[in-house]
Formats: sequence, C-alpha cells, structure tokens
Amino acid sequence: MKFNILKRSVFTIIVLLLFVMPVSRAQQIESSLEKLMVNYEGKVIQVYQEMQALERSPKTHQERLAFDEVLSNYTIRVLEIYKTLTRIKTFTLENYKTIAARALFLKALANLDVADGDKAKLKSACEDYQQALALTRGAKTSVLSQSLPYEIWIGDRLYTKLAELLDDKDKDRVLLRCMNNSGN
Amino acid sequence: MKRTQYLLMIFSMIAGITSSVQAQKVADLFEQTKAAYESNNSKQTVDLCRQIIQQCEQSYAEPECRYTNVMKNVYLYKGLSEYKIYTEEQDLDLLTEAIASLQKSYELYGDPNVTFNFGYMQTQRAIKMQNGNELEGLVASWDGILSMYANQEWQLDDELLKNLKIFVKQAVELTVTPADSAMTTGRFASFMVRQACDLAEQGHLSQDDRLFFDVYRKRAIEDNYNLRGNEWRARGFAAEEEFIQNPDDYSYRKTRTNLELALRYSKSIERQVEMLKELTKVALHMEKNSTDRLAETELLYAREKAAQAYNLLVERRPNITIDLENEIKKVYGNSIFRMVDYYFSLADSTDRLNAYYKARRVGEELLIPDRKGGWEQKFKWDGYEELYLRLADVGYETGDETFAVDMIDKAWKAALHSAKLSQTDLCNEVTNEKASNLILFVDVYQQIANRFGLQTVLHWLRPIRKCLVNRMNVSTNRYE
Repeated sequence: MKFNILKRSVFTIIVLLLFVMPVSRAQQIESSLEKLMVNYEGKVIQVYQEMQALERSPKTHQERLAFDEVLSNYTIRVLEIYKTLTRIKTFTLENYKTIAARALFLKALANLDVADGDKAKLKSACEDYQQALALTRGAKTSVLSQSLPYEIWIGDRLYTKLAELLDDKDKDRVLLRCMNNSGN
Repeated sequence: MKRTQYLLMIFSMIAGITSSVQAQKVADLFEQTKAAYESNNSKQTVDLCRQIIQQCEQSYAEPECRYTNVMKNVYLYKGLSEYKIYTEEQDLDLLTEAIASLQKSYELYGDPNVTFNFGYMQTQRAIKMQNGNELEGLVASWDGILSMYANQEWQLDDELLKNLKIFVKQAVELTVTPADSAMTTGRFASFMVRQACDLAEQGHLSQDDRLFFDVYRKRAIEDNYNLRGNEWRARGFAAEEEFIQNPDDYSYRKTRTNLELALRYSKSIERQVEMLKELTKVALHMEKNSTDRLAETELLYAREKAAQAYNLLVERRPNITIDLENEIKKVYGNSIFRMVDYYFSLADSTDRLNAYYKARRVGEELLIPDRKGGWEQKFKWDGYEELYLRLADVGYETGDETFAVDMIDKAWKAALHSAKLSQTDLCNEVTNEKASNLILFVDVYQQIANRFGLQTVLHWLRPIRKCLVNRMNVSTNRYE
C-alpha cells in the first residue's frame, strides 16, 4: 500500500515536471519579458519627457538628436520583446500590442521633433506612426484615445492621452499627412 | 578547335591554382594576425589586417573574405590594435581609424561589446578634441551596455558594472568639455548618468560601488540636473582641500578656475551664492598664507565676490540654510575687515592720510546710518566687532572725533555681545581669555577718550580696565 502511494507520488511529480514545469517556466519568462517591456516603455517616456525639457534652440539640437537616438534604441527593445512574445504566446496580445504602439508613437513624435527638414527622419516618423496604427488596428478604443497608464508631463502640462500629445506636438499635421500619402 | 579547348583548360587551371594559393594566403594571414594580436604586437596586427582587407577587396571570391566570423575578427583586431597604438602615440587619426574598424566589425556581426568599445572611443575622441557636443559615442556605448545586459539575461556582472562606471566617468568628462565654453546644456549627459545609476542599482553593489553611483546620481540631479555645474563644484572643492593643505599659486589657480566654472554654470541663485562665498574664502586664504603675491589683488577679488554674494542674498532671497547665510555674511565682513586692515597697515610706509581714508572708504561699504546720527554695520557677522575697532582706529588717526567715538562705542558693545557679557556684571563673568580679548577694545577706547577729552567715558572705563587686568594677572599668576 505504502509502495503504491510512493509510486503514485513519484508519478505525480514526473507529470508535474513534464507538463506543469515547462508551462510555469514559460509563464515565468513571459512575465519577466512583460515586466521588461513595461520597464523599457517607461524609459521611452522618460527620454521623451527629458527631451522636451530642453528648449528649442540650435544649441540644444545635438542633445535632442542624442535623446532621439536613445529613445529609438529603447523603442527597438520594446519591439524586440513584443516580437519574442508573439512567438511564444498563442492567444491575444492586445496589451503588448498597445505597449509597442505607444512606444512607436513616441518614437515618431521624437523623430518629428528633431527632423528639422531631414527627410530620413520624417520618413522614419511616418513609418513608425503607420506601424503603430497598424499594430492596434481593430482595438475597441483607438490607442490614441485611450487613457495612458502613466502621466506625461511636459513643462507645466499634463498629458493623459496620446491624441492630446499628438495634437500638441504635431501642429503641422505631418503624421496625418503621411497617412494620406501612403494611401491608407 | 582542339587547340582553343586546350588553351581554355590551361587558363582555367592556372586561375584555379592562383585562387587556391590566394585563399591559402588569406587563411595564413588570418592565423598570423591572430598570433600577432594575441602576442600584443599591435603594429604587425594592423599591417596584417590591412593586407587581408586589401586582398579581399581585390578578390572577394576567397572564402575567408566571405566568412563573417573571420572578417568581423579582422576588423576587431585591427580596431583594437589601432587603439593600442593610439594610446602610445596619441595620434587622433589612429583613433578615428580604430573607431571605423570597430564600426565595420559591428556591422558584420553586431557584438554589443564592440558597440560599447567604439562608443567609448568616439567619446574619447570628442573629449580629446574638446568637442563637447559630440554625443554619438555616449549613445553607442549605452546601446552596447543595454545589449550586454540583455545578453546576460538582465543580470549585472562585474564586467558590466565596470563598463557602467567607465560610462559614467566619460559622460561626466564629456559634459565638462570644453572647460571654458559649454557647447550643450549638459542635460543629456546628466540623463545618461542617471540611467547608468538606475541600471547599476539593479545589481548587488559593493559599498564602494554604491558610494560611486550615489555620488554621481546626486551630481546629476542637484541644481536642476546640472551635472556640468555640479562636477565643477566637486572639482573645485577637491582642489580647495588640496589648496588649504598647500597654498601655492598652482593649487590656488586650479581651485579658482574650477569654482569660477561652477559659478558660471550654476543654474540656481542658491548655487551662485555658495560658489561666490567659496571664491571669497579661497582668495582670503591665499592672501593670508601666501608671501609672494600682491595681497591687494586677492583682497579686491574677495571683496568683489563677497559683495556679489551678499547682494544676491538681499535682492533675490535664495532658499538657503541659516548656516550658509551666516557664512556669506562672515566672508563678506571678513573681506572688508581685511582690506581695511591692509590699507591701515600701509599708513606706515606710504602717504598716511591717504591710506587711512582709503581704509575708511572700504569700511563704509558695510556701514549704514543707525538713526541716531551714527553708523552701524549692515549685518552682524562672526567677528564684526573687529571691523568697528579698526574703523575706530582710523577715526582716531584721522582726527574724526564723531566717527572714532561712534565706532569704538559700537566696537565695545559688539565685543561684549560677542563674548556674551554684560557691562554691569563684567567683573564677575569674564574669563581670562575673554579679558585678554576685551582689553584691546578698552585700550583703544581709552586712547580715543584721552585724545578727545571724554571724561565720562574715562570715568566708567577705568574700573573696567582694572578689573580686566586683574583677571588676566590672576590667571597669569596661576600658571606661573
């Protein structure tokens, strides 16, 4: 009887090791990747806010360009994590998509901020904007109109939605026009 | 026809042999390069790498030229060796070459270590060329650090920690480059230092490392993220410490330069008054301890800086501690006193009256009408009785009775105030030390009273003098 119980316990442990552990390991990886994604999105926002704290003058141009580069690098990391998650996950990725889209929007805005007539930067801004919209196509509420899970402070102004930021920072509607040009 | 076929065969055979010989050559060259690199023979490594690159440009068909693993190492060895030669010869062209080689290696393979290295070199070049607005190096280094962190599954090892420290030091060095005219606002460098400190905190830091990152985080944040100003301030204080130990001209100039740069780049009034105060202190220390300098120059400088600090204090009302406010008042009062004293002492060797009037004019900078027809100092400071006393001397020497009496009366009261004594109970309260200090004031008071015939003063001063002298004698006897 005792032997049977022991056998049953060993069997249960093996089953656990074979089926449950890989699942929990995958969940662990997924959870740490998600944390990292959120962390890097936080970095994107930090860089964007810091960049906006600089006044617009030729003297600050180099610094704003450097901020833009760092922001792009953080965004690339967010996207890399998103891609990894899409590979390891089978069901909906709504939340991850939204995070990736938000990072791309900020990257587009940062590119626009430093473009100063630079066609490559404008093109990159357009591409990021389009990719962000494409990522969140079909969402119940547009990612631009969703309330942000964090606050974005620029000077004395608080932004709680990306749409407000977009209206304020893209006064010439450059991003909107690049959507028209692409035929979308 | 047959002849043509033979010729073609021979030609293709020769071509095959040639190419195999060349392929062998690239492989051999690469082995030699590896050996030269491992034996730290930098010049030979660079030569061999150049030969490989040249050969591959001529004949791309060679397999080694197409092997990423070979070529990324060729460029890596070349870049690192060029950098080694640069450190010996300090030729900036070599540094530029090294950067280009590493960038090429990175393009071929994407090793984050290589990104960090070429970013480091780019920043080093910017520092060397005093080009403080070249920030690409920092961007690349940071990208390398983030990738290394990811490669290590977001764990911080000693190597990464070392890189973080290098990164912080470079960011700081870049933001103070060039020393005299900042090309950026320093905001980016400050941000990057904070990022590095954030990342470092993810690991288990030793006490020294924790201190390092804490210090630099503070330096990146204080005074509205003024890394540049804070760094000059820190360097100024470090130089000042050295200067206090060894007050020579070199350390004086170094301290002043650093503190003046900290003042120039200060963002807040609080920081400005602090730096002005420190500059005054340094100049006063130089005047006091140096024998080979013109004292007047330092005193004038100290007075100017102290006056600026005091004016900011009054006009802008900065949010500073009481201690700092008192210190500013003290250095201002002290610089005026020392100037008055300096001109007073000149009376022995130059035009007497002119020296006394000069001394009085300087002293009057701190005086305001006291609503009783006399003058009082704008503020009380630690040692303000000394200034009154010296001005009383000036009044005595120039024969200005009103001024002399006003000043000595205020000096006496100030001396009692500073010694926390009351005139009515002086004899019971005074200690030996205080008595020997007060006797100076009594002597000058008596001198003035005698000269201008102030009988009432002489009447009440006599018992005080007697009591102070007795107190001093008692103590002297006790120690005899």
